[in-house]
Amino acid sequence: METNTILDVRDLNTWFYTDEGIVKAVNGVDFSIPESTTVCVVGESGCGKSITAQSILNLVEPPGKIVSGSITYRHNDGREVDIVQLKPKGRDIRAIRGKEISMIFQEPMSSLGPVNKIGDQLVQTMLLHLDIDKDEAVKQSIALLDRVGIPKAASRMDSYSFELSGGMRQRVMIALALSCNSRLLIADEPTTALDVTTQANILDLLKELQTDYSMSVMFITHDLGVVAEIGHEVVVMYLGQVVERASVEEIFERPLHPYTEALMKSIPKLDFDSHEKLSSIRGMVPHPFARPPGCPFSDRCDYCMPEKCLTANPPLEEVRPGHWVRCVKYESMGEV
Amino acid sequence: MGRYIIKRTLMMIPTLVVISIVSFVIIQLPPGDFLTSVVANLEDQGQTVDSATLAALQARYGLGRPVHVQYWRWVSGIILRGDFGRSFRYNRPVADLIWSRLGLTFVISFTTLIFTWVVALPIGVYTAVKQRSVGDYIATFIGFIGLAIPNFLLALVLMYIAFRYFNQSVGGLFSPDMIDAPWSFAKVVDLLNHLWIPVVVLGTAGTAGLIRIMRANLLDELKKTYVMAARARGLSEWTLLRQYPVRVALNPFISTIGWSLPTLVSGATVTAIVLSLPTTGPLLIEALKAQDMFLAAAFIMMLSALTVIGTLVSDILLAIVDPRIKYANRG
Repeated sequence: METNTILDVRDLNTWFYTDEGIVKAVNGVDFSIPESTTVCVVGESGCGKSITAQSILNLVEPPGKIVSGSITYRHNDGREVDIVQLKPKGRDIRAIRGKEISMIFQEPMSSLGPVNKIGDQLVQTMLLHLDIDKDEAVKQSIALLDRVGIPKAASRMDSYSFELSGGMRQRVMIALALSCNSRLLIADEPTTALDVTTQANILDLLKELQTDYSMSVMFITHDLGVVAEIGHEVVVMYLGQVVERASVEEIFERPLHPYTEALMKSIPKLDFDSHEKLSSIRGMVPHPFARPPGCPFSDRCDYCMPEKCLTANPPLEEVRPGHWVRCVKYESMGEV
Repeated sequence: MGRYIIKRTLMMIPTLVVISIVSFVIIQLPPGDFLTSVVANLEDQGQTVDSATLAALQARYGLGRPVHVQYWRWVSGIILRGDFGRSFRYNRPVADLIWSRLGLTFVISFTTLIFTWVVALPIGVYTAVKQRSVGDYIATFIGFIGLAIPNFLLALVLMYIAFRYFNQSVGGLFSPDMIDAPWSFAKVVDLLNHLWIPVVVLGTAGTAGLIRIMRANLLDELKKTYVMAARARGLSEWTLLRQYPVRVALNPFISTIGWSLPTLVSGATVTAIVLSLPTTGPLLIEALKAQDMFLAAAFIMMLSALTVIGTLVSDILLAIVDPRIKYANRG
């Protein structure tokens, strides 16, 4: 593991054992998150982004289970720990959750305790992970609420989540995630449930905090506009697999995988001729039990070569420096 | 909070006034009155009742007057002097008859409520957290049996067990030699020895019901994002359960106070008769049968007042536990 890497996910498999059969929600995912970097994970609904995030904190609930692979977290002092090997309810993983890696969720409306005061939740988290007393925790909580842009922070300590708007709740969630100076923030579509204005404000805040605290962010989204705004690196996922990985500039300038290319085409542009129809990816994400053989994207792909694509799933290969793609189009091409 | 309590307490007053009117009207509804049944009884024994005696009795009980005058005499007696009238049948003040019985009834009700909570809360939480485990199925099975067995049957079975295996005097709340003894430590122990049967009998169905409610509520809460969010902050499972989803799922426990006070007083009548408990249920039945109107009215009044008070207590507790309720009531 490289020294500037904070998290390294290798061949992660998280499967759900349902009554109908096994759903391979995460099916051999590889990627890593460097220090002080925002990595955006992109893909349509149901491609395993959230389950990957939950796997990183070992939060996957039955019938889901991490079947194999490793998630290596590198502590500040260089110590490495494989999160997959930790007991999901044990002391070791709990010391990482909230302290080293924290997480914010898609639904700010239901992510805060409904009958718990905002301040109590902040103070509780700080007392759990930091070596400070209660007065200090209260002081830091107020400063933090102020930092994430909550007006009259001191009086908000006694508020309940139902007294706040969606945007304010997401700000409180961000404050909670920052409360113990965690080094990696996982943001699982944090702006999807908010209106566009609030969405922009929250994105600005996250971008600002990422720079200020020089933390790493794993930002899950399906919105490529958001990726362009805050991302440094991009991981494109499809049906539980990484299909392409590169820096933001590379992805937008030179999308290689047909799926990434199709995603790019479906972004509306300013010089867009209003008589033209906005292109969309044909078909739907296949049902987990109706996975096409070979390449999972083959049934929706414009370049599909049946004799190659339907027989085997191509490996993820580095076809340009730092640009990885999983597609037969680039197989053994070396430099593109 | 203070305003909320005052508001809710003031709202009780009109409710209680209406209840007193309805109670009085209900006991006036059956044809005839207590004197009718007294005369019938005396004539059965071959005695004749002359009209002068009848008139004297009527005047004494105030039975000949218009209903609203009778109501006013009754209700002003209660409010001004704490006088619930006289029981015709026992020829004693109603107050003397009901207080001792209400006291014991309250002891049984309260103990049963605590029993229900203490048993239902941990089992309910366990069955939700360990859903579909062997323990969950066992608790569910026993719970359904508890719901399905009629109380009087359970009472008979427990009485048999207490008599056969614990060599206990069965029925009532005290051993025969203790009934008229003054209160002492020995008498309290004796009471506790007898109390478990009615408490178990009366508590079983409620416990089983509450376990189901707690399980269903908690299962709903456990699926919500805030539980995973709290776990993602590194809280231990126990702290997390206690401070987040269980607090939300607790509401039905507190609501039980409202409806359990009156059902324990009235609904336990059959059980009380089977176990010959000196509680209010059997006395109420007798009073209704004999048209002992002031006694019956006092009981009906008490049951209704307990319902209102129970609801008030549970509403206040709910507002303390669940801040969302206070919020909705503001303004």
